[in-house]
Amino acid sequence: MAAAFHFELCDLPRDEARALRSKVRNFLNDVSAGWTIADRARSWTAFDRDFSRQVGRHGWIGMTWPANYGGHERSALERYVVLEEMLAAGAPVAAHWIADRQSGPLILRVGTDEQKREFLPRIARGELAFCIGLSEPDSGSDLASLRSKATRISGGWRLDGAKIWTTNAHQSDFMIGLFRTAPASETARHIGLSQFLIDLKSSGIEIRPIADLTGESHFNEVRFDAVFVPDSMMVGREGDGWAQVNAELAFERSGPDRYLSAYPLVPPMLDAIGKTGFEAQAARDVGRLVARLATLRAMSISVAGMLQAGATPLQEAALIKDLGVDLEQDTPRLVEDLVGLPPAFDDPGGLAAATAYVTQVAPTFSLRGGTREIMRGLTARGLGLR
Amino acid sequence: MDLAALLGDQLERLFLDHVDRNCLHAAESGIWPAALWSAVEDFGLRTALVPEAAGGSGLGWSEAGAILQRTGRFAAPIPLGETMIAAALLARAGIAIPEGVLVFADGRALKVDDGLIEGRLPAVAWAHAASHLVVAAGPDDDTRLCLLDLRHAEAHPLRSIGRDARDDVVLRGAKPVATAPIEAAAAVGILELGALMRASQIAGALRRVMELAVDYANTRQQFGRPIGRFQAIQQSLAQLAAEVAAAEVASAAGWRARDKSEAGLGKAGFEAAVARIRCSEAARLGCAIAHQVHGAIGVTDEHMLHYFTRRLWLWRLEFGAETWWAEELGATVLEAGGDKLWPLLTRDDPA
Repeated sequence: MAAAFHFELCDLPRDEARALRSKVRNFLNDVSAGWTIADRARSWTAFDRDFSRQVGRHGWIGMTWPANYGGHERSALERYVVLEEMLAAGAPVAAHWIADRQSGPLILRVGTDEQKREFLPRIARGELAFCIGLSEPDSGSDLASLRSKATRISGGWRLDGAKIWTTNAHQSDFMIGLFRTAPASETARHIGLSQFLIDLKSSGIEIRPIADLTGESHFNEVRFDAVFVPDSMMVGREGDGWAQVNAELAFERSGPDRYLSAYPLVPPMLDAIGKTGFEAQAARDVGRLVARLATLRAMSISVAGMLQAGATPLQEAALIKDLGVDLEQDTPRLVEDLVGLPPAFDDPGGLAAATAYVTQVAPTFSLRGGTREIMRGLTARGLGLR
Repeated sequence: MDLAALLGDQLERLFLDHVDRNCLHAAESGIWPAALWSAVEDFGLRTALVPEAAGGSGLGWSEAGAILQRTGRFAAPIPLGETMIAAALLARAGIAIPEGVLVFADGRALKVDDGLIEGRLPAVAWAHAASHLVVAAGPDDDTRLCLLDLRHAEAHPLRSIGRDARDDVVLRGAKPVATAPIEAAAAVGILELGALMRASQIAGALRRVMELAVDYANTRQQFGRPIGRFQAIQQSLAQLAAEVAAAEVASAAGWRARDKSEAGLGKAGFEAAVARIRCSEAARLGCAIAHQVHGAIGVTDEHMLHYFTRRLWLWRLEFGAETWWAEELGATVLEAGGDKLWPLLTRDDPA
């Protein structure tokens, strides 16, 4: 049997990482004075344009991109240091996160020079927020079944259809959406899909936030009714959308955001358990949690190294996502167990509130970026089972 | 090809030729696999971790980890890791390395009185097959690495789930063949080396268990198709794969930290604990899945699976059990407080 997956350990570049980490930590120390535990637990769903512009001014968005497109020409591993520090601190990164992680790299890889010059510098300054238009009301895990279509018209394309579960669409400037530009055939359902850069202020777009169980709105339904997109806003080649999306997902599935979503609960949990007098069982549970965290970090950095080397480690990314979301979803329960949280609370910023928040968003951890079942199916394919 | 890769390939071919069901069965009946051991000795693997200046191959700990992973992958019934690590400890302390099979143990519970060693070492792996034992013993201000001749010790054979030889070793006023001073902290390091050795073996054996399960799923037909076509089986095997990946990365990261600490880049205890805990967890979860996929045939004596799963269950408990390490690590983290955890996790490049 061929090796289905292979992780080579990767070291962060020691001197660069050390200097950078220290700068990021100092910055976060300065700006985080007013953040409650509950604020930190929101981290990469918390949308704060001011914060993103500050991060941009430090040169921490678009870090690996060429300088002529506003980037900073640093390595993917240095970028990793910034990402993990932001997440560990629970910084409100949503206003630049998706553009930095997915949309910008996609434009850089397959976009036109004009697109690169127009979008990348503004993303790197923390001024442009992006969302990802993939899922549709009738196309979730079966993404190839999507029906929203782009029809060629004079000077460009006309978009019709609907996207759903679009995180932060209501606060974003642009969407990169996947639309059908040619009919699928029975045997090749993945053909005929293309990606477009869509200005969300275009006429014919209706964005409807979907209130969720937290009482907040993160998701949206975005409807397209004869929306015009100029030719120049197609991303990559017509019909290549499926391959482009899949390459993009290796970035989405393996980053530190795939195991650190619940991390901001952990330090306050340790403090609440106390430095002395804890039960042996509590220590064991903490020890196991830390072993899982440390191992996932080594796995995630390994994949960052593969991405830096130009590989597309889809198998490895799927394994990290599977293990990472398990850890994230276990965390709120562990906090409840070990701290003995009360059922109700009056401090909206405290550990109990933060844990309640994570408990409510945790079901999405194993949905976003590909469901657990899809991830495991992908692994099974790699193992030679299908 | 570098030396470590060359040795690894040689070892792999040797194991492919020699370590089959008959070999494992004989070893578990108490028959020492002399031919296998002498072939391993001929490769010079006994002193693979001994610096070149002292006559060894000068491999680093990470390279040793890759070799140990191969011993796990075949469940090779020989104390190669034990011998390699014991020889490395002796060489680093400047003690001449004796011939034959060597083992090592955590000796911190032993008493040293006027140079003579007293006490009991529980369940030492392969003690009765070995000529010598390496332990660190003595008070904190006078800890010494000691080489003991096992002919002068009592070895009480024990039974274990793995069925490889394990013995309680009792020392009654034993006089070491040689001693050398080492730091008290290094005594803990010996336990960590044992833990890392088992972590790598777990990673190797667990990958083999995954391969056996995948092969079985692709072969065994039920309801008119291979059971591996069923999504329920695929999902389980994907979980097993994730555990294999975690074990491989955790054990490798443990050895990498050991290499760095030897180069003066800090202490490796944290990574050793992480490797130990995560690999043991992976063994527990992974064995359960592999047996479930195999159905009843997997628990029969005739099938190969149990030679791996029984050792995986045993290795979780040696050189400090999974729960012991988890408690130690957890207590350290709790005592340090919440603010210290992230710097600890990222300390390979401390800010």
